[in-house]
Amino acid sequence: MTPGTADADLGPNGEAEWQRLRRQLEYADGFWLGFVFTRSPAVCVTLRSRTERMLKTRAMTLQSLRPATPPELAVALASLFDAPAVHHGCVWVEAVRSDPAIITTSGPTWRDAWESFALRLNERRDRLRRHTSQGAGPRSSL
Amino acid sequence: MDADARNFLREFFRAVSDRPLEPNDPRYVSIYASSGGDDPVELLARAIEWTPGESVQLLSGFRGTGKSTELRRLQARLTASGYKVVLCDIEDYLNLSTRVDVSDFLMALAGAFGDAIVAAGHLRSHPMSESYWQRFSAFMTRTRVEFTELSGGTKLGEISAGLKANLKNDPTFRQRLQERMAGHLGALVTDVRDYITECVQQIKKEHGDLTEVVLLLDSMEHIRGTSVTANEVQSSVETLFAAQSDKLHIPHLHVVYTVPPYLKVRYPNLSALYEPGGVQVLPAIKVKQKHDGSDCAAGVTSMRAVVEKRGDWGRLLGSEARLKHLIESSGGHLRDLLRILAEIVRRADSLPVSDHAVESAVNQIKNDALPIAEQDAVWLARIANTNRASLAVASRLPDLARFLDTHLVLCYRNGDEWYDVHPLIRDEVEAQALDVAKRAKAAATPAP
Repeated sequence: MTPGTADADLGPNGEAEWQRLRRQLEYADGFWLGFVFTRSPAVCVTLRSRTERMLKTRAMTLQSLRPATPPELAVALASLFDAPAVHHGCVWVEAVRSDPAIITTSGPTWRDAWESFALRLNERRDRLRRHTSQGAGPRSSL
Repeated sequence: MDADARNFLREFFRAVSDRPLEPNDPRYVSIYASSGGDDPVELLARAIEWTPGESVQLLSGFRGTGKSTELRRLQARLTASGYKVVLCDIEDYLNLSTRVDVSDFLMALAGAFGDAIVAAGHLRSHPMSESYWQRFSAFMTRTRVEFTELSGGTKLGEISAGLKANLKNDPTFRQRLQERMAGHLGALVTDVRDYITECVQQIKKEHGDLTEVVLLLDSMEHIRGTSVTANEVQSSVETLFAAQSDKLHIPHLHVVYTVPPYLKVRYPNLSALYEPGGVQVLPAIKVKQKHDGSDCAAGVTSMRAVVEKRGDWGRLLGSEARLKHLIESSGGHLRDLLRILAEIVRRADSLPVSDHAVESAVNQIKNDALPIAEQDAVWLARIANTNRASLAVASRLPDLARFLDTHLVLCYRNGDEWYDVHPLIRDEVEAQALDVAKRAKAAATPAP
């Protein structure tokens, strides 16, 4: 797939990772779960838009969940279990966020939210697998 | 690459995806029976067959060694011998990221068993037309536990209907339940046992007096806390399976519990609590000998058979030497071998694939395990040198559990049981440990 002009420069390593993701999307069958580790929101946006374009060629869409606050990440997890749209090929949860050096608010930090998200997701992964493999659901989650 | 090559790669990728296999799946290979070691499924089955009425055994399942697949094989093996077998996933009933208590564990066990015997068609209905969840409401009434105290105001009927969901999803409810049940543990154990006895009697009534019933309770080894609660959660698992082991023996029922592998390291004589079956371990497949690192032909052949059943590896890899290299790189860990193959397929731009694709895939799996903290590297190097995973201090149990969970440390069994560091990280671990030792020596040497 040719990157669009709006794509951020991923560099050689980033492009190699995109190739891995692209092949995963191309070859995988049924439910799968992947994680993209990056410090750069721009890299994440590029990977998301390339994924979206790739799905579009197969008449599928990408459902994008972009929580803006730590509590919204928990909401995003819950929404993975909502009734999915038939045409969704992938659910993309994006929160490339970090906590400030000095935390002034009393609510959960991004670190807390991600740890909780990962634990709850791990506990429910079989349920998520069953939920998304019933024919109508998204086939993958990132 | 042409369309045929792309289709081949797609099919191969799907064939090596990580999911439990049914015993009749054409891709299934009995790796434990064919690799020269004991077959854990056969050992579990025989202990059940040779112990009339009831038994209890533990299965220590290292992640990614085919535990769920082997449990399905055990289920098929016993079903063929006339047993009524149910395979339950405790994760459907308990939140496995918080501490477990014998009271909520037994409730989850009874609930799972009651649901499963009906779902499997072993009983046309629950005994006395009630599930365990309904029965537990009556138990609470008898023991005069205040429902409003547990549930923040929810009424008895609502608790009964939502007990299963509350037990799994509401940590506050579960904590209150544990606290309130502490004073009624004996009565709860009796009630759970009575319920299961009634279920078994009903099954015998429907299927014949000689019918025996088996519960395979999977996924208990998935229990783990957060970085903050790891010690507390692991301690609760130890208490459950060691100190409370007598409560896990259920009259008239054969039970196999899967347990975390660290439990056996922590309690070397754990088998004695679960006689006559004891603890069975699903290890990694031995592809190298313990003492001299030479090839273990039976293990390599067994892993080769697994790959052969998944697809035409010759077309993908091109040579036997490459396949052997991958098998050795996996350390005999089934999931890692399948992951390496999937990574190779993702990198394939020609058939057979290039050396670059193979090495890049192997490095990907290796890099997933890195970086390793210095303190961890020192311990891992000691495990590599001694082939033992013993704990110097109990407080480091969470670290050992993490090593085993992430297969930085692999367990092998063939005669004796021994541990080794995953071959993909061995060089890194030894180099790091050496560096730490050098710096410690330099720091201890007085300046001239």
